[in-house]
Amino acid sequence: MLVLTSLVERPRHGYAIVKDVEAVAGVRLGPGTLYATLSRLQYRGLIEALPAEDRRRPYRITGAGRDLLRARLARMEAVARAGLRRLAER
Amino acid sequence: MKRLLRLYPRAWRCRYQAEMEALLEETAPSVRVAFDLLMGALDARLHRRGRRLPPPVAAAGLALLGALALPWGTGLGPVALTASVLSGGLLCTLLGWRLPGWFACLLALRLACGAVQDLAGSSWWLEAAGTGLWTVAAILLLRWAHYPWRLALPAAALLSVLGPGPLAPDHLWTSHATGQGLLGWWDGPATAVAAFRHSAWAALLAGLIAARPPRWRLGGGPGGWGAAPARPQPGSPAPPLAAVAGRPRDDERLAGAARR
Repeated sequence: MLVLTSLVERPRHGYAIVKDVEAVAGVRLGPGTLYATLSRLQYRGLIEALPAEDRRRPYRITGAGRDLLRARLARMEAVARAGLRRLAER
Repeated sequence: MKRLLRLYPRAWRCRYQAEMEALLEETAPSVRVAFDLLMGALDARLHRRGRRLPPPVAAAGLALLGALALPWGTGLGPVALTASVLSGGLLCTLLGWRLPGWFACLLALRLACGAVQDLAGSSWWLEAAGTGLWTVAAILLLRWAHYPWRLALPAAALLSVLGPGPLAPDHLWTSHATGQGLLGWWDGPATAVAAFRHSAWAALLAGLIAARPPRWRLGGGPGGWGAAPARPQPGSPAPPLAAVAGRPRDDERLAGAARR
């Protein structure tokens, strides 16, 4: 989710994804975690690799990735709203 | 820190090593990063997608079946030996060391055959079963092996034709006379010859089967074992790892073509 959210804005390479995720969510992804995630997302067709620039290869979110991210975020938003409402009622 | 990348599978390194190195150069080294890389390497080795059963695992599975097919197996020696060699083969396979993995798994298979023979006594059908198991292993090897292995198997087959044949009467007689099993690995040079004979005949049979049209090949599919996947065009986006993770040599070729 974090990686897909990062790639929605524009294609990014590994280091840029790490920095963006850290800025948005306060989570610092390790290189092993990041590339395991990128591999899985690519395998599922949610992102695609672009031609490499030097040694850095940018990744771009696909249409399927956008659809999945939209659905997941909508569900998370519904859960967050319900949780906040119940907290406010107490 | 970059040395930890060597722990990743070869296909993974072909695909991601340059990127990960670039990322590591911009990341402060720490224990946390090292641990993350270790876990990533383990994850990459345990979750190789788009792969069929590799031959060491298939051969090891056969060996395990052979060992488990001994409910009367009071001879814990050969069974335990088989299990330990099998464990070593699986460990080698898990770590990506294919050649020792093959050797260990085939040896485990051979030991399992020996355990059957030792416990059940000598008989022609066990000899045939041993040859059959070796045939399956050799077919798997032919389907997956690299070029030197494909040369070694016909060479073994040629030697077998020059040798005494699959059921050498002299060896059969000697084994019965001394009370030794035909398939006992540790029984001496004569049984080592028998083991070689198994492998040689298996190579011959496997070669004959592998030479048939693709639809007859074990685990064939389009193109059979000889077909290489489509190469990416220069400048095209990199294929997903699953597309290059089928065979290590193909991985290297694809990665090399992509780099060029």
